[in-house]
Amino acid sequence: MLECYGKKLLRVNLSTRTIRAEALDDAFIARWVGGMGFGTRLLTQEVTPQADPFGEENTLYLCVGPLTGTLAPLFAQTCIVTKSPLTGGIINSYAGGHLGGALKATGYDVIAIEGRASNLVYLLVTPEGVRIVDCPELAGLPAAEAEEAVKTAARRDDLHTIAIGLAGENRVRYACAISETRAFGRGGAGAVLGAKNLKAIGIAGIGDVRVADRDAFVTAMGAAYETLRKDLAQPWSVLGLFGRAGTGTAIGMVNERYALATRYHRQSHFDKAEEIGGEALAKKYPTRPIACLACPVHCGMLHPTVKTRWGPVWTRGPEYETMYSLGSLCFNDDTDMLLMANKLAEDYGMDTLSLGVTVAFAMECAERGILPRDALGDGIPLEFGNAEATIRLIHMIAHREGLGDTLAEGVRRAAQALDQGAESFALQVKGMEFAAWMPERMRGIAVTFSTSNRGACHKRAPIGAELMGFIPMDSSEGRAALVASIQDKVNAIFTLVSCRFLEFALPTQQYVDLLNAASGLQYTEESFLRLGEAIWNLERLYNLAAGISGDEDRLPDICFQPPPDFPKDAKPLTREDFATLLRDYYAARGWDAQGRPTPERLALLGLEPNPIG
Amino acid sequence: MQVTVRFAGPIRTLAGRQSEVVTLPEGAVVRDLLQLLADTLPTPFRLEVLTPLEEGRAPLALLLVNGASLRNLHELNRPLADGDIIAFVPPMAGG
Repeated sequence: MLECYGKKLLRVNLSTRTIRAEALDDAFIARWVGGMGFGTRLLTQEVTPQADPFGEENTLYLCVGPLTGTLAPLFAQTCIVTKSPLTGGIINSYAGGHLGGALKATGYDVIAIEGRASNLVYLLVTPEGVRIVDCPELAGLPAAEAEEAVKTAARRDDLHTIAIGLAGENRVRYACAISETRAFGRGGAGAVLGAKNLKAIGIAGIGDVRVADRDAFVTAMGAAYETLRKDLAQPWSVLGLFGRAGTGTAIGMVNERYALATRYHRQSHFDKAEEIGGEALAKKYPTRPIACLACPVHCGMLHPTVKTRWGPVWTRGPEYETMYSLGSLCFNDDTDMLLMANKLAEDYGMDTLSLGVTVAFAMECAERGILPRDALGDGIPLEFGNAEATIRLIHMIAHREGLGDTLAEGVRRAAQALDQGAESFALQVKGMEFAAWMPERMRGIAVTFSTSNRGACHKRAPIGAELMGFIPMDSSEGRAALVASIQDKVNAIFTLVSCRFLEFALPTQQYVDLLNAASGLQYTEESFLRLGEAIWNLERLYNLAAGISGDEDRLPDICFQPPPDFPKDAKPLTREDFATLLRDYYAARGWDAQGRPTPERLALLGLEPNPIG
Repeated sequence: MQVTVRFAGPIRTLAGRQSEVVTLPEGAVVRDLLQLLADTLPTPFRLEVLTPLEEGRAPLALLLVNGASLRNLHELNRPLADGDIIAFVPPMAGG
């Protein structure tokens, strides 16, 4: 039973420089399964909801799952759970690549990082032991250079790494943690690491992963590959398109549906969308698809050494969401700039979504006269479509220089600081900047953005169904309940730390088959989805205790002012629609009218009435 | 009347163009447009986009009229109007 787990947690306290291994008991593992489940349960027990995200009292949990390190397809990711400096609530964030496999091979299912080092350090977890290493020489280095330095010093070819750049060190609230060519993007995990003075983590392991029932696991794994193979063999497989041109292949489709947020939501269609999309980049620049561990999709698009007017660029991406945030939203159609901005975001370690929205917000403020057009200096006007302005702002934010210091706080805090009505158009929910979608156009996005525990996050939305027309994107009927069910399902698969894209092809039962065969647990599809719902409620209770009330399940005013280029028969979101959606959502969740989980619902989910702390 | 036909993402390669303005007789429906495109655009576009679309085979490229997807094959008889924008787009999943 539970053969696929190391059953250990590594607890590292940077304040006291103590390191100890703790056993994870069987009941905990069986109940919370892994990844997001482990991280959520641990944080909600160990980190007080009142904790300062930048304080010693915050803890960052690095978690893998039961299928990590096996050859089952698309389980390469690693999960971070911590208290977000952007939202003040709980955040879960994921990166693919090869880190998860390395962590699994150490025998630890979780690394909990507590406290704060007195000076800049990195953490090394290898078969030789666990060490905290002083590294003043790495201060200010780009993430990739810090990762390389740690690998060189450790003299291990099998070391996989996480690092932060200058933005993390400077506590830019949306700083991310980079892991080689991948990023733990949303919610500011990089800033939490920066506040802990932890520049990097290097991990190498030599352990095998065992499974409970080898024959059943091989069968389930074969079935999963067969499902993927059939999907990828279809001429119009979305995953197949991702493998050819990356996630940016989608931009033309979204654009033609008039759902591509452009020029700060003043337009839903961008004439230059195709010029910044995946196919265009693959045609214009040297491009090589790269994959995470055990992934036949290979959606990562590596662009090795492109010459731009700002200098040479070597970068993976930009992803679809970056084409929106630093592209269409800023009215930018300069692909050299997009590649350079993507590289700078990697070097400094910043979430490209929050970064791009923040840059666009500054441009919108200039257009509205809230910021002066010469706010950037150097004769570079702060205006939409200005590539130089975008690049300049990225540097200013990472260095917290001038206006960049205000913008490093994210659009909610920046809008509060600038005042003059800026909060009404700050594209954020609960402090997190909008992902690449338009709530005013897509009802599922309106529900997802407003109710997500992460803030304006798109990870658990019926995007494909709405864009494809399987369900009308401007109808509220049944939409809230659908979103709730997707939230539960995605939470459940994030306990396995599955890539989000696997769910495009794999039915839920196949996840359950893999989990049961690997672990010996006996989940059913129903109990698996119920696990996802329990995690969602746990997060919600934590956020409520942290002061994020149901009043924050709302959208900014700008979402009720549809852009003039919407199709003439489109039905833009109204405040009445939104009130209905939210009421339906609370009902679907079994919550009260203020959006609080009821004791009855918690009992149904196997949670005690007050499970926080 | 004139309508604009746009091709998105990978469909541009099949169609060999980004967009096209097409002149149709008054009263033309979506199916008339598809027939005209089948006669004038490269064979790969016909085989990989138009034929599956007409046969209702999934997964397929979507046909949008003014940003809205056709919900069923019956809508191939939908009348077009001057200035309409018709787009062929690849599928999308997830969220």
